[in-house]
Amino acid sequence: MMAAPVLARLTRNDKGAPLDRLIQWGTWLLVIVLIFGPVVPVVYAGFVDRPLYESGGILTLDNFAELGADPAFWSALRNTVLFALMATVPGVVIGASLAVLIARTDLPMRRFFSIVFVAPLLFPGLGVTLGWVTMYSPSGFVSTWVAENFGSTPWNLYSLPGMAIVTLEKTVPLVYLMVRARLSSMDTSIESAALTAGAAPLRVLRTITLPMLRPALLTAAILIVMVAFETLGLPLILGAPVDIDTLSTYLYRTWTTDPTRQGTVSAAASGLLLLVTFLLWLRTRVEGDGSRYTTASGKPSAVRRLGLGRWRWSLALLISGYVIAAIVLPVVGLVMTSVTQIFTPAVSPWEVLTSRHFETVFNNDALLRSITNSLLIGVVGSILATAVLAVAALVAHRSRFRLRSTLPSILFYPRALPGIVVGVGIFWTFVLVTPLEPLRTTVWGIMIAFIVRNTAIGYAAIQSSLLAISTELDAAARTSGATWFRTCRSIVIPLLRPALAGCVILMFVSILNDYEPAVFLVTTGNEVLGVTMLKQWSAGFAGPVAALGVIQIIITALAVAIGRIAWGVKLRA
Amino acid sequence: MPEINVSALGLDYAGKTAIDDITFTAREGEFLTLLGPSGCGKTTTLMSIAGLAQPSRGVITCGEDVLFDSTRSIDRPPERRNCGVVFQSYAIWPHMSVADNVAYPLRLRKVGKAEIARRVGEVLEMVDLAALAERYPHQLSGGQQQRVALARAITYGPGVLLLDEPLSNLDAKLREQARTWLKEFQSSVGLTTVFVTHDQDEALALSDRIIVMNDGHIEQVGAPEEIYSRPNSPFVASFLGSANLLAGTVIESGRDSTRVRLDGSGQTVAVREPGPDREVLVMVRPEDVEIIDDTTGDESASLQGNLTTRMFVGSSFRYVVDCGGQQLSVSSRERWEPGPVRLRFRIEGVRLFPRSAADQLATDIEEPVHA
Repeated sequence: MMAAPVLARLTRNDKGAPLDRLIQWGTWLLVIVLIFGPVVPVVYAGFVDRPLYESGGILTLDNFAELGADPAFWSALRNTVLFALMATVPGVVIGASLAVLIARTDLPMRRFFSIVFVAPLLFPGLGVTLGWVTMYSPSGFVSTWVAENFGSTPWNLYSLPGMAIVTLEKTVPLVYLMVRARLSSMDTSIESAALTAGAAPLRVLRTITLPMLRPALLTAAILIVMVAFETLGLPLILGAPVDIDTLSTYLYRTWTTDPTRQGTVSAAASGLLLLVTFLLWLRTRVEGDGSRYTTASGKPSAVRRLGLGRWRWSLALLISGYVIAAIVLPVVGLVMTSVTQIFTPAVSPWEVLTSRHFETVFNNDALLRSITNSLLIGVVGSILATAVLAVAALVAHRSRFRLRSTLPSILFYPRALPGIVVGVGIFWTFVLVTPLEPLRTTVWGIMIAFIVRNTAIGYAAIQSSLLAISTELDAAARTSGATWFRTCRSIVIPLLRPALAGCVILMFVSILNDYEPAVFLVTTGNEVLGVTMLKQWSAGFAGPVAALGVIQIIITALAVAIGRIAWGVKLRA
Repeated sequence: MPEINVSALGLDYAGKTAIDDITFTAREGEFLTLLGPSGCGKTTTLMSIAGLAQPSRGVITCGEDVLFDSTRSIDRPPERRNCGVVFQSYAIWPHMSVADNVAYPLRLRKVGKAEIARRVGEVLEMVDLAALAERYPHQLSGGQQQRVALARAITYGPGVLLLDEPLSNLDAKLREQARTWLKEFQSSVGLTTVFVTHDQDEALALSDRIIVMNDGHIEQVGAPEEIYSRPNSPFVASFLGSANLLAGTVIESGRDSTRVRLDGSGQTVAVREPGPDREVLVMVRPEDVEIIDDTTGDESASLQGNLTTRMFVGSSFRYVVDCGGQQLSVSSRERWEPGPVRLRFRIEGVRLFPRSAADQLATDIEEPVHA
């Protein structure tokens, strides 16, 4: 090697470091305001004696007393608890069984099933619920067919058990994913060890695999209870027609029908908030306890699958039945409703085909606007949210900012924010903070509400990728002379690009399909898809609603496909 | 080139003291090594200099610049410390070519395009990578990546070079070559260098001076030969090279002649230094023990023992000799058969430690595992 000359010293200018602190503080404050901004007025409104927009409010507990004296509230609470129980048990059992069968046995068609099971997570919740109604409600296609051939239908969708069944559509995939993740982190050699000790495959599943899954099952159960408590669309569509109120529909109904009782609504909303927050706390604790169940493993060994023997094909058949009944038929129902004049077994659908519902959608200003509005806030919102979440993740995990460790829990907190509470909170914020008042009737206010509600999904996507990038890569840039922000910009963000694209897609889909926070914010001009569908459905226009649902599914599918083709984004929920 | 002063440096993390009272100076142009087992605080010390770890107390200066001073609340961010750092993983940015990696510190310093090209070319020439300038990191071997990291660390002319186990990710053969190369490189650029390693051979071969660290504090500082031949604790003796530590009792103590009776066999050995305590450990390295024929009858300064095991290690034999229950490791090029033997210690190589110092021996310290 050649003799090296001593390199001349180069110095750098020292501007830029104050910018780092500005960005870090700015991001932290923005996150605090966005996440807790909507919560504060809800809680506060519950404790004052008059609506927040009237001055001179006095602190009081009257709202809670009034709430306690309302028998409708107690029956709503009772219904919600029952609904949660009915949704949780089958949800956990079915989801966990499917996960075990897919991950650990030689079930036929595993690959196909594993894709189909999670697909409903991307379906718009409202559209799918309507799909269930078109198939399984008393006048639905399947129900009518069963009633004609067997005399009666053994189920009734317009009931608490009916609601619980429809919830499975969303909860089973969630449980399935959680349990699968747990299973894939579990070394199969612990099962092989039981096999070699002489246990039969089914006994291994029962005595080794299932007990190991306990923390995952518990977390999944809590998650379903949370979903049951906060969901609005489902009980509104299935419960309201037969006067079954849950907490969220009680809130919605009271708010929309009796403006004088906004204090009571706020009191109930803070109660709901407290409850769901408690559930989230419980869930985090259970997750933390999971380390007890960590299996020590050396090199990852190939997955050993347990043989199901003669049950193989009967189980596959059973699962196919479930897939058709619970995943395929509701979508078919929605699509058929959108393209037929009437969808019933009495008339062949091919004779009543029509494009009328789609024409209605495209000719009606309000309906068309709800599509363009949703697309607009979906695109703008997903990009904005990703930018903020990316910087927040960098502050949380890649800076020395004093309060950095608070950020992840704050950004995950919206999992405990019922959509309807975010809605009430944002509404109050816009009413109270005068400079924000103009936002209240625009799509941008709705966009903010949707972003707040869905931060956890996007943040999780960014965080997991960020943690996989070695910190020595940014340490090397810092010691080369780059400020924190410069390091983020030139080193970390480029390496994070696939995760950011994934976050954009996820946020877009979430914003497109969300509606609950918007029910109190929508007026003429700022309609969004979900709320329009909800309102049109209540008014009895099933066809156009189904058409909107189909459009929603198509846009979602396009977004996912674009993400996959353009950026190679693979969505892991 | 400035010198680095570290004074009374301490760092507490999660209620535990990671390093404490670390004081040393890396002189101008010196190759200084922080050596110790994993968890001894050597990397923490290095990262404190680089500004990537936050010490709880102490002072760090680089020439005239105060980089860190807890009493004056000075803590310069890493980007303003002018330390060229090579990380254990090399940390080559995967989305940039070799040339872009090396040019990055120059771009930050607003250097002109032509000057960047010239300097990058010059530095890549120095590390023998000029031909690979347009390659991307994944197209490079481990040794090449290591040199890119080094080139990137020195392009802008840093005050000091900090190396965090840069050779540990290379396989054994390559490591040997890289070591020679690094030694030549460092002496030719003349940069003050602080090098962290857990590998005693690396430390001995490369360093002007070695700082042996253990459990968050400094055990001994000195030139490689000095530390090897005159370790001041059983820990240093057994961490650098291998050492026999025989338990014994001082029976006769003078200023430069001490007699020790070994436990077990009751035989005595002579040592040319005062006994530090009554209960002592006699330290002698395997290569300072000579096996002599039991039949010669030469009993002056010799021990009787029983040769139990012979291992061929290539350049020599390793023997285990049992002396009244204490095992000695002996290195010799001669071939001996198991059975009774006599041992003679080279008296210059025999040291005494108080037995109370034996709490922490390097022998039961695990080799660090690298991910």
